[in-house]
Amino acid sequence: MLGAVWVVMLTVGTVAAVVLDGPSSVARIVADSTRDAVQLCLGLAGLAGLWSGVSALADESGLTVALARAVKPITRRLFPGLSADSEAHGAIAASVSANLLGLGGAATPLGLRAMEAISRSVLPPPAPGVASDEMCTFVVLIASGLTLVPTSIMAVRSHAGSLAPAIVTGPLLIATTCSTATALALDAAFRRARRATSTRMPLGGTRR
Amino acid sequence: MMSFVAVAQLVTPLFLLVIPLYALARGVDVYGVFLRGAAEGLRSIARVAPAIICMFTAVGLLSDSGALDAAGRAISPVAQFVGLPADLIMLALIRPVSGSGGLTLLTKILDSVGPDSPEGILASTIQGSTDTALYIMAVYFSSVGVTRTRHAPFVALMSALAGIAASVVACRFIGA
Repeated sequence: MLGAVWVVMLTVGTVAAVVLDGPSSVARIVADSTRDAVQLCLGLAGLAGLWSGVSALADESGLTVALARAVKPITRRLFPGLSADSEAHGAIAASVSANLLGLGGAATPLGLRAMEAISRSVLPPPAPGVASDEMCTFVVLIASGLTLVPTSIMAVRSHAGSLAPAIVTGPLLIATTCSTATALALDAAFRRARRATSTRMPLGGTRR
Repeated sequence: MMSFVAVAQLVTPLFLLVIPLYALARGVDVYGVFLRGAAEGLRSIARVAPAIICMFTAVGLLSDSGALDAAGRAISPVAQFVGLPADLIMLALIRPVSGSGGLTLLTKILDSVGPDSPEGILASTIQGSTDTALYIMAVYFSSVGVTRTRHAPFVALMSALAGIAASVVACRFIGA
C-alpha cells in the first residue's frame, strides 16, 4: 500500500510539474528534494549516533531493564505478542517518552531502536517483508502524534511573536488523545478481524 | 503548563548526565559500549536513507510543482462550506505528508493572522494534532525490511483525520 501511495504521489507530482511549470522543472525539483533528504539523513545520523550510544549505556547498566519493568503492565496489553522478558518493552517506553516530551532529535533514533527490538522479539516471526501486529501497533501509535510538550510548535509560535506560545497545550492534548485513541482502537479492530477470519493462516500467507 | 515545559527542557541534559554517570558507576566499559551503540545507530540511518529519499522526492514533486496549491484552490469552496479558512485545509492536507512543509505553512499562517488569533491557535493545534505519518511509516518499516505494511497506512490516515477533527472541536470549545 505504501508503494502504491508513493507511485501515485510521484505520478501526480511529475505530471503537475510538467504541466504547470514546464518539463525542465522536474530535474530541478528532484535535485532539490533528494538533497534535502540527504541533509535530513546527515542530521539524523549524528543524533542517532549519540542517542543509540546513550541507549546502549542504558541497556548495559541495567536502566533499560528497570524501565521495562515499570512499563510492562501497559506495554504487555498494547503488544501482547512480545515475550515478557523482551528488551522491546524498555525500547518502546523510551521512544514513546521522547515523543511525549517533544525531544524531536531523539524521537527517530529511539523509534528505530524500538522497531528493531520488536522485530527481534515477536514469535513466531512473520514472513519476511511483512509487518507483524506489534510493528503495526507501534508505528500507528507513534504516527498518531502523541505529545505532551509541543516543542517545535511553541518555537514557531514564539518566533511569530506569540504572547502565549504554550496556550495550545490544552487543545493539543485533546486532539492528540483523540488521534492516538483512534489509532489504537482501529488497530485493535483490524487485529481482531484477522484473528476471526483466519485463525490458522500464518501472517503474510497467500493473501494481501 | 509552563513549569511542565521547563521540566521537559531538563530531560535532555538530565539523560546526558545521569545515564553515562550511572553506567560508569556500575562498572560498564562506557566508551566501548557507547561507540558500539553509536555505530549501530549510524547503520540504522543508512538502512532508512533510501526510504527518506523515496518519500522526499515524491513529496517534493507534489509541493514544488504547485500540485498541492492547485488542490488547495480546488477545495476552497468546500472549506468555505465547512467554515474553515482554505489555508487551514491545506495545512491539514500537508501535515501527515510533510513535516517541514507543515511547519513552513504554519509559519506563513501565523505571520498573516497572528499566532494568538483564533485561526492561529487552530492552525497550531492542527499542526500538532498528528505526526508526519507517511514519513514515520516509510522510515520505521524500512528500518526492519518491511514492505507489506498491512492495515497501518489506513489506520494512520484515520487517526490523522480524527486528530484534525478533534482540533477543530477543541479550539471551538475553548472559544478560540
